[in-house]
Amino acid sequence: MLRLNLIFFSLMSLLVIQESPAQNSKHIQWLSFEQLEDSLVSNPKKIVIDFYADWCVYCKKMDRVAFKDTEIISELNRSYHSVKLDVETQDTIRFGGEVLFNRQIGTKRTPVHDIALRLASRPEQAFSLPAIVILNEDFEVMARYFRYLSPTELKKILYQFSF
Amino acid sequence: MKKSIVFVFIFAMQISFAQNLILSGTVKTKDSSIPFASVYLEGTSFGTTTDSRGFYKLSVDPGTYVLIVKSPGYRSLKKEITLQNSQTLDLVMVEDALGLDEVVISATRNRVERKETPVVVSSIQPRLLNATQSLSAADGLSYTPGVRVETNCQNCGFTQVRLNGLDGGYTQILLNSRPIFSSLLGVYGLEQIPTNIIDRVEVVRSGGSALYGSNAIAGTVNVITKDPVLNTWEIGSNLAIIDGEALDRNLTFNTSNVADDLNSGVTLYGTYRNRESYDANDDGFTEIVELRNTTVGAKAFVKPNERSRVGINLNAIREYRRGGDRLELAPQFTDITEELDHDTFIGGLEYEIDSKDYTNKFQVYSSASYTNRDSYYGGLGGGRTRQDSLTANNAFGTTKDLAWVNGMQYTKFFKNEDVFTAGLEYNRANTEDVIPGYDRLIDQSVNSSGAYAQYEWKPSQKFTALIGTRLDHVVVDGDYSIGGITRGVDLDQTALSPRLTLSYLLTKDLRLRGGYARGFRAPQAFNEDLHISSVGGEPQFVILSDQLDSEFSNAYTSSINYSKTINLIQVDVLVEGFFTNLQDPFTLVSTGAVLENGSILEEVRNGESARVFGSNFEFGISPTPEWRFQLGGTLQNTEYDEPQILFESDGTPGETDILIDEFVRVPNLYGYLNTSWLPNEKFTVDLTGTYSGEMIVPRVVSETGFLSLNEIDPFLDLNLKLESHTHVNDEFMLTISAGVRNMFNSYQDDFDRGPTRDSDYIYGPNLPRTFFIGLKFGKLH
Repeated sequence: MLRLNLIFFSLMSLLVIQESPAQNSKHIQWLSFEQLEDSLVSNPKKIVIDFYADWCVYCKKMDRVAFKDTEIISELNRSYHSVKLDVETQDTIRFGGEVLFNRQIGTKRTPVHDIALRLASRPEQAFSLPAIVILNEDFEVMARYFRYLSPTELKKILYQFSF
Repeated sequence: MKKSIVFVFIFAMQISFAQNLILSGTVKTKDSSIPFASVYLEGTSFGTTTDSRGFYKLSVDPGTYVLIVKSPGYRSLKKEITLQNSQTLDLVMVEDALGLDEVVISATRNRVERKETPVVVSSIQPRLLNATQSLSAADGLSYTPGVRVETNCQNCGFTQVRLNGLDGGYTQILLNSRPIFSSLLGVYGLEQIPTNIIDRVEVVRSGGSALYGSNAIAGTVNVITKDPVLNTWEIGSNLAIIDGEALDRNLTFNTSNVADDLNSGVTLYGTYRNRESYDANDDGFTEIVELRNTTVGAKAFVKPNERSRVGINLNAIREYRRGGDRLELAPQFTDITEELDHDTFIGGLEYEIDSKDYTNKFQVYSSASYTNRDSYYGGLGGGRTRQDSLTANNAFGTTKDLAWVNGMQYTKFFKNEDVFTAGLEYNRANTEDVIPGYDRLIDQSVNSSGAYAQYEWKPSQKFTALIGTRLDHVVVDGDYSIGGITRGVDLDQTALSPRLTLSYLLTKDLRLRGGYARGFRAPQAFNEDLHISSVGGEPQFVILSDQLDSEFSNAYTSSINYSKTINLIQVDVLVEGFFTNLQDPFTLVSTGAVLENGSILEEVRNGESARVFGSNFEFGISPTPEWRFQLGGTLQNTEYDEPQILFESDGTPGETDILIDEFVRVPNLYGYLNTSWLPNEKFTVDLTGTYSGEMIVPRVVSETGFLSLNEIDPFLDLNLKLESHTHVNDEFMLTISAGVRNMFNSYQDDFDRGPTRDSDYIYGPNLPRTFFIGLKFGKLH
């Protein structure tokens, strides 16, 4: 495993060098789940998923603060695949060989997509936002955060999990 | 690589120990399976999530466990199981209607979900204040059951809030849960809070909670100001044309800045309002007064660490109002003028800290408001004699008013969700009102110390009891004089006010509540007693009688609340019964024109005991997010045990004592309607209205102060508002609105006329037909 990681690491470093225009970009290269699936094949990286909704005021604040921070932008573009999903989306998402829907549309006033329920539900608590999920290259959950993250906090987290 | 992308969950990842039993099955409702439900064994690391067909599988050690199943939108399931062999267990979950999960503070002073509060809390949201084109807190309050806001004077426009038919003095008005509205500020205070700083207004009918003052007999109105997260700014302006004649101009702004780590923030706001006076019957005397109000304020917080918070707020209000006739002249040259120039400063500081595990909370706070007021209540009164002129020249007065509120509160949250709250309060109110020309003085100080404790007991999921009591020690020292009559209050009283509320969840949609509250009011000059009206061309004064006893009350309420969410449909029905018994209520009795200069004097006396009872109802349905309907109201009766005297005759021929057996100015039926259509984010239509039924309103009909009791016809005041919202970009949005208030012009048509009119003879909707347009722009959200 360690060796594998090392290989990944070196591969990633190579890719990083090749992708330098992307990491200098002023914007986060947000991916959809479908794009993520392809990107993981061509370029395995850790993953940050940001679930948000229009009604989530703390998500808005994170969009305007943490996700505008230049250091965070370059770290996300360098070390992660970044995925952003409006949990209220009506879209059908094909991912990992499965087809996922928002089955709460028509039954809930704030309908949450199945993929968000799957990745960001907690025992003993109602679904809540903001929800930030960090996964490794094999799409295994490494950490989940169910609160507002300031730029300082998010930076720390991103550096901590990038290795 | 593609094959290696599989969903692995944090819970599933923990299953890596030696286990030999398999527990499996399907999580479902009556009709369908529930995917992605969490299934786990309490106190262990065994857990999983159901797959897309609702199937779950757990490898576990043999033993006895509590199995828990949770899924958003369903009620959690708890089940004790003993596992010896592998087995299949299907789990059936029940849907949970969580339609009303807004957070409410008032009922228990801690943040809890509204549906679960033991006390019924009606919350007025900014959406409704906006829909009703409310410019001040006073305007929007009528849109909740049991509440009526009435205007009481054509010369100064003073309004009061009636809750369950009881007048303003029975309701405690709170700003951010603190009783900083002093007796003077209470008169005009609600009109001085601009709506652009209000997050919501919470109304609790009947004194169900021990945490608020003992004078909260009818209930509490808690104005909660906004607590920002985003950096925003907003500028708004409104223009209204009252009956095509008088303009009401309004300019507001507010801006918030909150640090990136949310540990500090500030909101700055301001309002300017200029309303011209309005004369409904062209007699040259105002029905709606001229008003100029400038309010500026700031609210800031800083969190020294995660668990503590320091908050500070500062407000300055400058308000000028004038009514009567010939507003362009100096007041002493007019027939009637009431002119008030308030300069108010409100400041508050609070600190709160949580224990490390957030089970203990401690708060300490101090707020003060100081008002300096110049007043003119008087005029020539239709006469032109030397004496009239002399009196008119000496009707200038000054008022100084200080209210200071201090307290500390401790809250303990127990593991079983019980909550214990205890606190201490010390409030001081000093009022000095001087009008040398009338030899009028109110010099009053009220010191009250209070201690309270309350336990919220939740022995089961269904039953909650809120048991509390407060002990108040009130010292009142007041000197009151008018035209040579001198009265005083020197009172030192301690009273215990127990409160009890029970709540029982009958089915998952149906909640029963019941409560008892005892309250008392110590004799003192309340806000309405400071007001001077104008009758027969002379000022009419209020003075406390000697030997006033404290007033006690017992209030009982019971209610049934049905709330259900069926897919997108939300239904909420509330029916509430109330019975309040008042012992020795402070009652105004007119003693006629007894003062040397012919002025009428009203005395505050301990009146006949009275009963106020009836029912509040509220019906709300929202079939889809685009449509909302709400209808609410009150059906009530008021009865004095013995006929209450309102006017005491001095023996003038043709005049007798006037007695009444029910409250004046309280209709038996009143209510509101609130309909919204929000077809999309760009456009909304609101139709709102209030209804007030028949009632009795007294009117002074002779110079001696003799009254006639007039039966008043019902009013239906309907408003329509259209609003369009443009999202230019994330930094700039624009809202344009237009509409009409009181579209059918349902307005009082028998105002008294001329310099000798009874200025208190005003009732019904506070505006005739009024068209308005509004513009709001900025980074709104």
